[in-house]
Amino acid sequence: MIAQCSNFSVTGERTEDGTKLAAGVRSPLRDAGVIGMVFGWMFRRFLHVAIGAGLPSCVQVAEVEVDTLLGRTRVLNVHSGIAVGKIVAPALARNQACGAVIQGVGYALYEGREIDLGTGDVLSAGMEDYRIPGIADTPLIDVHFDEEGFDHVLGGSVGIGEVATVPTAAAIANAIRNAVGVRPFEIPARPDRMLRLLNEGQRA
Amino acid sequence: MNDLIRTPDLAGVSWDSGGAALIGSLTTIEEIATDIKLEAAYPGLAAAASGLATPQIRRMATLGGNLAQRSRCWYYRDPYSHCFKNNGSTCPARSGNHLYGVAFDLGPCVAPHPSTMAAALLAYEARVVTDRRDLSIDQLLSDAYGGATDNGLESGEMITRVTLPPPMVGERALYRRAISRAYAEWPLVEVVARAVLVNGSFQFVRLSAGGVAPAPLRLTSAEAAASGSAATGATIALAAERSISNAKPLPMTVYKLELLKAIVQDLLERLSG
Repeated sequence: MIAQCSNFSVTGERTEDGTKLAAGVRSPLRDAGVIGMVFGWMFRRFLHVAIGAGLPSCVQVAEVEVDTLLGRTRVLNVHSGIAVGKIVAPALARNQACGAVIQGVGYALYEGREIDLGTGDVLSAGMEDYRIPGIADTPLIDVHFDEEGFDHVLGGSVGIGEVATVPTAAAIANAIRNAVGVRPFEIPARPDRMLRLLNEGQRA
Repeated sequence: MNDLIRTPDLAGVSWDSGGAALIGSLTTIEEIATDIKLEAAYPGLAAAASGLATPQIRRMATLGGNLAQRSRCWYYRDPYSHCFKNNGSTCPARSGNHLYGVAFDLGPCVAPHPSTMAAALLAYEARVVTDRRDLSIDQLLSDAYGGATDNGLESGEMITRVTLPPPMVGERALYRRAISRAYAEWPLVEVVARAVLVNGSFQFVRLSAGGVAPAPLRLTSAEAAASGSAATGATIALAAERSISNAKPLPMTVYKLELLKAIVQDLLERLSG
């Protein structure tokens, strides 16, 4: 649509993300014959995933303290292992990973889209009511980049994105389970929810 | 609307000969939190001041402004909602989402009073002096139970200072606030507790709770349960239980009663130890 506007000229088109492999590297699916081609097409068509392009991944360990009296959870440490290939800009990558962890802490403990059930009106529509972590809620964050395994990808790495946000809430919930024996299945794990879980845990 | 120019007689803390503090209404929350003499005389007040909002807000916000602030209810602040405080005749939070609402449902509006300083001053039986009157905290804020307003100030009336009685001999005080983040949150529940212990018994107990009712609440049943009794685990447990004796929680605020009991228990234990 944009290309048809008279004010714009198209100088090049971007191909599908991540389809370009390093020189001499063939997609494993392409070598699998017709079935591989069918699967490759299905992955691209329906999942928007190009097989063999290298997917970012992250593993985390979280340490928490849970105040069983007032239901507050404090995250002390988050250790992150991140695999996105060769790190091109180490300071930026670390910064991005730390930001993602803090975002994950907010997702796990504070951020709630509160609505009015009758009207659908969003009530937590500002920074006062939609709570994100402050500096005192931020854990010590330890980031390790595992740079191996992306040699087949053009440039030797893929984008880091917010991959470090993906496991944070689950790691925190697991840490809560490990600390106090109850597992939150709802986030944010607010004090009222934690107290309810702890009471149910006691009765059980 | 008045532009309140900072004047020497409205800002700062002074003391009378009997050891009572007079705090000007334009004194900042930070000044109250960090005044060494105030902290020694009224530790519950200083601790409450340290616990509210953020460092930036504490530096700018004044005592008078804190006492006269409006409700933080998200319906009241929503431009598309109407309520008792905002040209309406219903409380949309009562039938809607009142996650942070009152646990002592004592009026048509279900928003708790937002002033932490009021909860602390209630525990200290402070008087609020305006340019027209001299009021107790209850008199200043009891209109909040009517639902249409957060305080009883008349149009154009201004708080000029707050006076506190001299502290009792041997009294101690503590403050605790239940929130989900480390700082910077309106209290789910907050309590200021004062006590005088003589020979292992509570001779005097004052408990004031914020975040649970349309105005800060004296927990008189809990005070009565502890006053005059030996400061034992049983006494403290009974007082904690009595702290919720007149509670009327809403469907979504039952958790606040648990928080209230837990804080009363914790503060009395620490005061007795």
